[in-house]
Amino acid sequence: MHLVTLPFPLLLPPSTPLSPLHPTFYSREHCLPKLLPVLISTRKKRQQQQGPPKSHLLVPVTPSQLADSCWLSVSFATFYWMAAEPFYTVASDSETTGEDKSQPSFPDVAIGIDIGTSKCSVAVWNGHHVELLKNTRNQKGMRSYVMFKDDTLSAGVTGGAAKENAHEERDVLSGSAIFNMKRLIGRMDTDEVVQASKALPFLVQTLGIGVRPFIAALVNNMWRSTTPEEVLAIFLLELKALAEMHLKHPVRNAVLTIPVAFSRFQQTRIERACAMAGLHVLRLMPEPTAVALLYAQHQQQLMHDNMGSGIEKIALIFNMGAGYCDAAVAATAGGVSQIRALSGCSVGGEDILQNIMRHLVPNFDSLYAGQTMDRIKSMGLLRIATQDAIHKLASQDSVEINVDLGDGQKVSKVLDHSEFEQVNRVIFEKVEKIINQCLADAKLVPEDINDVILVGGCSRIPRIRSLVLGLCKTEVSYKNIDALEAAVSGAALEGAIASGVTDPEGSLDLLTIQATPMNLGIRADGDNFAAIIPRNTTVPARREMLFMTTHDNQTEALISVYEGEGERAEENHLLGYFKITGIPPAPKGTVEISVCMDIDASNVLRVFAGVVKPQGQGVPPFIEVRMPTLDDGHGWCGQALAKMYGSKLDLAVHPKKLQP
Amino acid sequence: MNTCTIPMARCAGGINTATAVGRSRSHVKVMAAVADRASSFCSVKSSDYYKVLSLEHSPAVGAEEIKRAYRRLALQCHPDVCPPSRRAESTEFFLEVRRAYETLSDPAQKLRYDAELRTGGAARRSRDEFARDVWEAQLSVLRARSERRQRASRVGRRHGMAHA
Repeated sequence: MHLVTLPFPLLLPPSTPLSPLHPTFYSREHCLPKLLPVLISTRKKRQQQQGPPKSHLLVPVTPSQLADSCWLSVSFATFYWMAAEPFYTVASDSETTGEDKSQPSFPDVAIGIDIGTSKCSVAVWNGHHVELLKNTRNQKGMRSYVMFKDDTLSAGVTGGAAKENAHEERDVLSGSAIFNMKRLIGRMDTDEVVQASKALPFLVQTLGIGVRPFIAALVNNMWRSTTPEEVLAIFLLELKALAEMHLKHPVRNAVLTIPVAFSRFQQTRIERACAMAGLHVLRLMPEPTAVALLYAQHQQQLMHDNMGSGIEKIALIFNMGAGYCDAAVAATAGGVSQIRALSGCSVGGEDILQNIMRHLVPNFDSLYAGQTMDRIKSMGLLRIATQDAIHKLASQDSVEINVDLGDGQKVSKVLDHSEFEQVNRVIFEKVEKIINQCLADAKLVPEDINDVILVGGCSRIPRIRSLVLGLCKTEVSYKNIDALEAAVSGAALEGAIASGVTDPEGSLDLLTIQATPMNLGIRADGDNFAAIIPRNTTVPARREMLFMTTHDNQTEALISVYEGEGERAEENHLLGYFKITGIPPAPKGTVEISVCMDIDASNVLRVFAGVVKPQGQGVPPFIEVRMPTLDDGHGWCGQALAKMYGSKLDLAVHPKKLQP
Repeated sequence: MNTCTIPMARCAGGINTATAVGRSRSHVKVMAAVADRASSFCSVKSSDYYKVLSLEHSPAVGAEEIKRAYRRLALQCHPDVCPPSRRAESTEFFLEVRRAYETLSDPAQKLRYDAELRTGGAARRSRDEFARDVWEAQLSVLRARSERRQRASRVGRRHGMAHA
């Protein structure tokens, strides 16, 4: 297998020019020494013969030319240059377009990727059905981590050097590996999820002022800094290589699943990581909606086999993994799945694990206050033992935990279901809240639900199953779906549909009509949040709201765009802000300002704002801003604006709302 | 040819068939209205929601029928299933379908809408005063152009007949 020997350039430290992580590594000369002279001479000849060239010329192109988005992608591209046959594409022989823009000739079906907090998987539509790809160790679900060791980097896709799972897990918890990046990505250091991540074996340092946390892995007794985006990119790079090895052609496009609770800013961070790995994101799908697509396909199949009735079916999908928990209500008929409601929060198996660890070792926080080598090792042992116990509790009534943490610390305890449930009571309450909110938002009662679909690793926990099924007043969950493979299969289906693949048997005549998971709006009426696009609005969406000035002769107004569920602006996530200037002087309340939010088919949010009354020549032009604009400092930007301007630039919701 | 007095209803005629042709025609108008800076971006309301969903024009149309029509149209015109080149256009059309569906699938809203339709949409028109201006301006240009074309063809035909 190529892959095992493959990541050789990655094995070099990023500081050496030979490493793909070094900026100078990627240069065209590396990849195209033989092609360039041919290309140039052909072009010269043509110009001499025919004047300005207009026709197309067939030239061999390496995948490296296609991977134009980032130099990180080059390590695998060069691998192809050396190991694979160069394939042929039609390159336009004109001066303006350049060779880099050439389109690949292979069928470019987007792959589906499920980046889980704890495990990742990748799947692709192979022309007949969705196929999950396995790594060299025959795993479909690959542990999500990147190991930093001496001068090498290795991601969980190949499993690094470890041959056995137990070894791997111990290595992962040694402080040298970064994992749980999905919990950390795009979060500020004031976030409680980041605070909880301090109990992980690698370094998560916070200042608590609303900037990104400092993250580092232990390499040769030194903390080496990195970022969640970089870690994810390295991981995606290996996933991409795995897919390319299976498909035997370069992969460019991908559909990724994300938690419902991901903010738009977190989504941009995922896109960033993908770009670093040379992947173009066709779509980011909330995890339960990917499952809904798979369910829609099942229902279509039943119809074809004359076993289904074709009547609309309502499914409640509950997904709980290691980092997040989401729910969705989807109405499905005729291959179309309309998302009626979405809800989610950042509660998952990691929280359950930490709760149990703190329960087993009451002085957990003081014991593991500073990260010394001993403490990291001891905490790793505790983590493995706890994880093991939770897994066993899924099928046993009670479990005995015996672990020597070293330094005289020993844990010896029998844990049963009632104790487990007591310790994690808060988590089950949150799950209950999410299901109830989802049902209420969909304007449905439990009796309306035809199928309850439970997916994700935590759906194996008996209490979670009974809780969700109980809330939906049903006895059994939907059977024909694999809890761990559903999301990635849905993503691969979406990838095929979005790539324009059609299936003669009609098994791709599917559609998920998405909805917005969170309210989108601006700060208005003092510190309040005025939702312009309420949550669970069908996407694409366009909504408008009228606002008015709050001061006499107010010439400027600040539009602060937020996303979230809180009634007050500051409880929500700040996406960006801009100012409307040159408002004609007038008494307060007489100037009307329209703010329109538009989510297009690619889920891009644009905000349009401007003065609609008075009209005429003296009015400034409308402003269009693509959101999010903020890159960092979400925590303190709002405060800084409030401190600087107070209520000087405030707007109030116009009582005459235009929306019906 | 019936030149409607209510411009809204005329535009809907273009969408009526819900074919690619009808779609692209309505799209041009919608975009023209949106492009105007002073226009409020969302107030481009089309017309007859029944026609948007290609439904029989009667209040007796059932909820299930409305849902089915919406789903069928979604599978045809949702931007996710359209080629990238037609994305903007299909987004506009889908937004319209969605608006029609949201109104007609809500019993209370449907009742109000049906009443509005009976009274000639007077209530709606006052709300969309500005949008209507844009539509009318657009329409007069189009009407003038079609008249000119008709006149030209009529002249041509007469010439042809004279030759015969």
